Amino acid sequence: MSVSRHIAKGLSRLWEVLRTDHWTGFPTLAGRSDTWVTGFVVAHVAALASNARGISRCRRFLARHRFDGGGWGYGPGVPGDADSTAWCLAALVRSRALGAGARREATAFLDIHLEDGGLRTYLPDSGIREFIHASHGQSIDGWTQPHADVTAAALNTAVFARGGAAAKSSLQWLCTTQDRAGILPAYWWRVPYYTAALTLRAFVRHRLRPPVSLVMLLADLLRRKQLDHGGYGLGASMQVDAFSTALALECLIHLADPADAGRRDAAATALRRTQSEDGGWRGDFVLRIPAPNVVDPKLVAEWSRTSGGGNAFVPDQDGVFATALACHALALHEAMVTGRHAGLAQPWPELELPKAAPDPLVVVIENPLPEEAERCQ
Amino acid sequence: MCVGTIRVRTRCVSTGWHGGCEETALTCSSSQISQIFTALCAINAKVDSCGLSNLTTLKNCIRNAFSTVVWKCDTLDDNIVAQSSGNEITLTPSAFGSTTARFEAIVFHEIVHHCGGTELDSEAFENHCYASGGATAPTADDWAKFRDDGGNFVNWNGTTGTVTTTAGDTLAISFVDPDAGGDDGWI
Repeated sequence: MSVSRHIAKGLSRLWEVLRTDHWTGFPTLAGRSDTWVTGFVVAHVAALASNARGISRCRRFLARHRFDGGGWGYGPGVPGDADSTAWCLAALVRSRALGAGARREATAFLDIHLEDGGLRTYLPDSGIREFIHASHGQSIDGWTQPHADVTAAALNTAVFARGGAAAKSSLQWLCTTQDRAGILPAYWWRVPYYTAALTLRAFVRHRLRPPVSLVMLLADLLRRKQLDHGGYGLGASMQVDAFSTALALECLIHLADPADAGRRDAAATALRRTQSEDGGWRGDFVLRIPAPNVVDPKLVAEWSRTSGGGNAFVPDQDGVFATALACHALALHEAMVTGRHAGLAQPWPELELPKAAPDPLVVVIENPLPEEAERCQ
Repeated sequence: MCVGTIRVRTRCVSTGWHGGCEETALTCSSSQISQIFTALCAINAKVDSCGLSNLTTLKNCIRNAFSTVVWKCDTLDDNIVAQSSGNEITLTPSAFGSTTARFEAIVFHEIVHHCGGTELDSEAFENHCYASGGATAPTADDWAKFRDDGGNFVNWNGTTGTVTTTAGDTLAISFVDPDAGGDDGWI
C-alpha cells in the first residue's frame, strides 16, 4: 500500500470518530478534552486533509470556544492554559474563522505565560487552583512552572516571530533542559521524543540549526532506543507504540543525518505496519498528569492508570493523537524521500548558547589524597 | 583512573546588610570529601568493565562526573540515602556511614541518574557492577518505575528478568517483575 493510502486511511478514521465538529479524548477528572484535542489534531492534519469543509467546521468550533479576551482551555469549564492555546492557534493559522482581534487576544494570552524563555502551562491566578479544589495551602507549583513541552509547542505558533529574539531565547532555554541521555523533558508526556520533535520542528520554522551538542546527544538517544523492528516503545515495552514512533520518526527526519536514512525508513515502515484495520493507530497511556505540586515528574513513585487525577497516566482513547501524529510523520517522511523536505540539513546559522553563569555557592576542591592525585596527572 | 578535583556545594552562613552572602561553609566535611574522591577513583576504574564498554555516551558522562556533578552532603526525607537532581547529587550521613563497597555503589547509582539514567538503568548497572558487594536489590517501589519509564541505556524483559544494554550486551542480573498497581485523586 502506498504511503498516501496509509495517510488517507488514517484521516478517514479520524473523520469517523469526529463528533460533528470536534474530537474528544484523554478522559481525566476534568472530563474529556474537546478544544485541546481538536486543536492538536487540526494542527497536524489540516495540511493533509482533503476534507476542507470538515477542517473548516472544526476551526469554527475552536473559534467559538475561545475564552472571551483570552485563549483556550483543556475542555468545558477548565480554565485557559498555554498548551491548549498554542495548539488552537496552530490549528487556526491563516484561518478566517478567527478574527484579527481574537487572534491578538489569544496571542497576548499565550505571551503572558512566558517566563525567562519558558512557558508556564497555567498562571497561578488562572483559576486552576479553584477548579481542582486545591486550598491556598496546597502547592500548585508544578503546573505553574515553565514547561519544556509547552514551550516547544508554542514556538511553532505566530506568538514567536520567525527567527526573532524571543524565539532564540526560548530555543536556548529549551536546549539547556536537555539531559545527559539526550532527552528534552516533557512535563505532561511520558514519551521522551515529544519535546524533541516539537523543538526540532521549531528550529526548522525559525530557520536555525540546533547546537551540535544537542544534535549528537539526541541522535545517540534515537539510535539507542530504536527497537529491532524499527519502531519505538513506551516505557519498558518492546512493542511499537505509534505515538512514540511517529515523534521519533519526526526527530530523525528533521535531524536529516544521511547515516540515519535506514533508521528513518525502518521507523516509517514500523509505523505503517502498526496501522489498524480501521485505518487508525492504537493509542496508549501516553499523557501523564503529575499532581499539581509535583515539580519533577521523575520523582513520582507511582502512577495510576484509572483515576485521571493527580499522578495518573491517561489513555489516548480512539488513538486520536497517535493517528494524527502518524499521518503527519508519514507525510513528512514522504516529503523527505521525494526531496520536498530537507530538515535541518540547510545552511542556517547555528543557535549559540550563552555560557552558564558560575554558581557562587559551588567550590572546586582538590583531591586531598596526594598519591591518588598524582595518578591523575 | 583518578580524579584531581570535585565540585562541592556550600551554604551561606553569614548574610550582609545588602542581602548578599558574606561567608560560606562547605556542606561536606573533609572526611566526606575524601570518601567521595575514593569512590570516584574506584568507579572510574570500573567504567571500562561491567557492561558499559559499548555505551560511549554513558561511559564518558560517568568519567566526567568529577567536573559536572555538584556534591552536596545533607539529610533527605523518607529514608532516602542519596538523590540526584539536575547537576547536584546529595549524599546523606547514612550513605557515608555505609561500607566502602556500599558507598561506592550508592555514588555510582546516582551518577547513572545524573547521566540521564532512569531507575531501571541505575538499578541494573548497580546490581551488575556491584554484584560481588555493595549492590542492593530493587525495592518494591522500583518495579512500577521500571515498567513506566523503561531504560535509556538498557532494555528489560520483566517476564524473564533479562536486562540487556542498548548496545546488546546482556547484564548478569535477573529482574523478574513481581507486578503492582494503585489509584488516587488530583492532589
